[in-house]
Amino acid sequence: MIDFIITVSEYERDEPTKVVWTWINEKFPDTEGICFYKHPNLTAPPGIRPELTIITKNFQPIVLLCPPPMTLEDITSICDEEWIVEGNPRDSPFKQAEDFAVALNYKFEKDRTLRDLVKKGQYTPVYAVAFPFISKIDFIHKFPNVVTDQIVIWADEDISHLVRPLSSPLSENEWNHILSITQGISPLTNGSGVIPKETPTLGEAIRYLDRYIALLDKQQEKAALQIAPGPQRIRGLAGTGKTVILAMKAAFIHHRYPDKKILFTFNTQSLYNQIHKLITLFYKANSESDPDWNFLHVRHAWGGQNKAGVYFDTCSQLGIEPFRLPTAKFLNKNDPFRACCQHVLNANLTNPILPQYDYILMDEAQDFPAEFYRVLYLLSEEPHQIYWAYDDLQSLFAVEVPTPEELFGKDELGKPLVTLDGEPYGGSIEKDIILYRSYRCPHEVLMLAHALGLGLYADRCVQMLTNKGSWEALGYIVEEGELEKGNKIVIRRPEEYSPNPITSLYKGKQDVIQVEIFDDHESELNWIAESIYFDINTENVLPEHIIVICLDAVKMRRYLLPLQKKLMDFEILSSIPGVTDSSSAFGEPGRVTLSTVFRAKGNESYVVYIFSFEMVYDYVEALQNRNRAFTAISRSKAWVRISGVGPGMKKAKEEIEKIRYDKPRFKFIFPDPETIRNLSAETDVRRREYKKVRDSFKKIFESVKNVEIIDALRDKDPELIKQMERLISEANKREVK
Amino acid sequence: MRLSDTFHSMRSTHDDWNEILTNPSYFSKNHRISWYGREEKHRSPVLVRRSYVADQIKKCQYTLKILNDDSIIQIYYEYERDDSTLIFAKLSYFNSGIADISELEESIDLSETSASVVELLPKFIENITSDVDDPLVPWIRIDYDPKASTSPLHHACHMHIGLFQHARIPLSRVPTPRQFIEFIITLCYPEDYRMKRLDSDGKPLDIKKICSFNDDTFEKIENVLYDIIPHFHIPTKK
Repeated sequence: MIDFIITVSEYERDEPTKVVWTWINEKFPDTEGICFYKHPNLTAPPGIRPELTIITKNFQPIVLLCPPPMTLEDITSICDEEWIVEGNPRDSPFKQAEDFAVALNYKFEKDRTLRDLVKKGQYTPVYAVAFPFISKIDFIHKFPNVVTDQIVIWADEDISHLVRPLSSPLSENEWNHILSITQGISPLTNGSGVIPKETPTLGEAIRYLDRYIALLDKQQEKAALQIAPGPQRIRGLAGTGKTVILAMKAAFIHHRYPDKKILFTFNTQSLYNQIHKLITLFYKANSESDPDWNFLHVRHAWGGQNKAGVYFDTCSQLGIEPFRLPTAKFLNKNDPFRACCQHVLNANLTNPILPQYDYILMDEAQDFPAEFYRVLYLLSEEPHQIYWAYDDLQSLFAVEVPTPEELFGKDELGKPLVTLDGEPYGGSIEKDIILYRSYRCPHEVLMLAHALGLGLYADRCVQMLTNKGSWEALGYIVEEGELEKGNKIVIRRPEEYSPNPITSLYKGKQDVIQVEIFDDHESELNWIAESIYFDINTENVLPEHIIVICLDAVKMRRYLLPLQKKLMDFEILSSIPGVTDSSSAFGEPGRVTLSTVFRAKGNESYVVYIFSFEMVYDYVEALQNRNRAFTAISRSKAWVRISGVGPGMKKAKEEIEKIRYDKPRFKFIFPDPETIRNLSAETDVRRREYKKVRDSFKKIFESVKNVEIIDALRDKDPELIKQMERLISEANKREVK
Repeated sequence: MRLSDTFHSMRSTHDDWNEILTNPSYFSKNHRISWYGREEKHRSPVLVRRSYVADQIKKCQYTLKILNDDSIIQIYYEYERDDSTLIFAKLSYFNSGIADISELEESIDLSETSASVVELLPKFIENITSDVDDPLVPWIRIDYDPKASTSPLHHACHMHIGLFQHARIPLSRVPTPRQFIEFIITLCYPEDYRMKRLDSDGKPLDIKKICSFNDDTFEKIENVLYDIIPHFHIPTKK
């Protein structure tokens, strides 16, 4: 079957192409392939694109030009290079089709794997022009002297000349290269791509994984290549490729519409260089020059006096002085950026913000307050082509995705400014695209992250997705049970939604998930240091491919610095981003990264150690720590090593074993949503309780100036002392268990 | 003091102070104790500015960093092939010049929401447009180079202190890594020293332990100069 990707909604009005595509769809032999309407980066001077570009597994590629609807009467004369149509000169469509074919051929020839095929003429684009409203006989009658050996699709619906079988079928590797090139994702493939091999060492498996041929899946293809004529949301978990897709989209839009103003905005400072690099990479794959950064703005959402950013730029446009961080923090301690956005929205009431951009792309949209969406709406020209990439499950505490109506707000009449309801845009371009496949984590690792994070196998769930749609958006299928309190539920994650191939590449002894329990943290840190030494020296893993995450945010400093010392004893260098190094110091060459969960967000690595994992059973912070466990585990592109101490870790290990036993399914009893809702309040109660007891203990120690006073107390109120001793003894017993 | 003993002193000091000493980068190889990627021919300027320290951090030119303020310590010892005769040493401390995080926070872009020195210092440096934005910072360096010893003005082992351009204070012996780091902490981080080494009355918590830091030291430098000019005494086992 040939998939049809319509990149722009003009297709709805493009009658000749619609007619021709119907014929191809009905008459082309059955084969796997893709047909692009107005391929995003296949262009030839003077910037016109072929209407249809078709690549298939068994036939030569096709470039088909379908000029605007014209009847024979519209064409006045034809010279070799120039046609006169409705009194106006235009470039010869035959020559244009040939230009496109040459351009496509060049793309294939540049690829090492395909070069031989192209050179031997075994893979050469067929190019053609379609006049579906003109008959061949009439044309020859009117222009008897126009002789062309090119293929033309006439009104007789004969497409047989387009069908040219390959002399020998393409190998899987060759086909993947062709796909990667036509999708425009090939710049991301390291080296020439490799045919996967099995290996017994981690380091080699990582190198294979790193050099896999970059390909887009169907949903990614739509998200990256289609240019929606209005707002569009792209949803996906971490590791679904949102940033790459948005960067591709920005590069393609800029390539197609070089004089349109585009804004790419985001939240994490350290992403700036990555986004810049990606856009340049995708743009330069189809152009000799760099992107014109005067038209394509890559802007952090905030900015500053010396660095452009959406908030600072908007303040500048409005002629108001931007807040500095202390002011913004004073106005809104928890979300200073919200105060900034409110600042410009207030100013907008008297001095309207003027639209600045034709296209706006927003990455990490889940991190922004609704006020920022409103600012972007005001900054965008009609029809508000704002594309925002949203991670549904960045935080397990925010499983309900806010609607566009809530984010963008309403007009004076109460009508939502943006809605994703209703029919798709013209050409079936969707308003809301879900990226089901998560590429970062291996299948089992991602399932472990979800199950632990939600507490599906814990004594009680800490969070729950309450409808099938939410589970599906995460790439799960509800197989059994209605999602109602007390029901037995079976949910499956299909393997194809987590296509990370590490388990098929690595055939050594190490399990993709390893869990260890220790008596104390000293032994735990020793094991981590020794294990990392083994990874580097025996398994040939590069230090920059290892990250160690401490789940205990409070004691992080107490553990990470000694761990750094223990690694140094093995002559292994390390960085602690945000503590001893800049927060962007992740994966520094030659250094292992030691991190807190907070700092690790947005980063990934092949080997991930998570320690102090007993904290998922912490009395006070269990809820938050489950969320941290989810974030920490989902950083892994391959192996996860989990460790902890004491009874909490014992329970955690049992829980992990249960989760792994049921893979690829989750089996659990659907919890009472009311209990889950109460958890947050319960945590607050526990925090207060903890603080009260701690303060009371402190007071005792402060007031006991010498131990004789305890003797006096024992003498006068022996029961009180006994109670205290019993309490301590019970606590100690729990610790020993 | 043999190379292995000096390296042991380095490791044990780091171990002891690992609550504030971070990003270790030391190694012992080819008759030297140095840090990874050391720029051999680099000479630090007399007037050290904040941007210089930031640049050294960026290039990983340090043995250890101080967690509190991102200041750096560089430790370099060079031995004869026998690994027992010290022929050269350079021990430095460069203060980052950051006393108060709020100073940076005020001057940094709004986008820097996570206020920590390591986060803000590089950004601060980026924004420097003149020397006014780039203050001089304190530093200390101890040099040992018997070959370069020329006169009472240039003793074999001497200490430079920032801003005193030609000042070379003679030292009676080369400090061990332990002695140098303990000295820097008492001098520049008295509060950390107090919490670790002293009781609430300011007296040593464990005088024996502190004394033991001087059990194994380098030999005293024999020179008549010690009889004629004031100098720094580096303690040793009595």
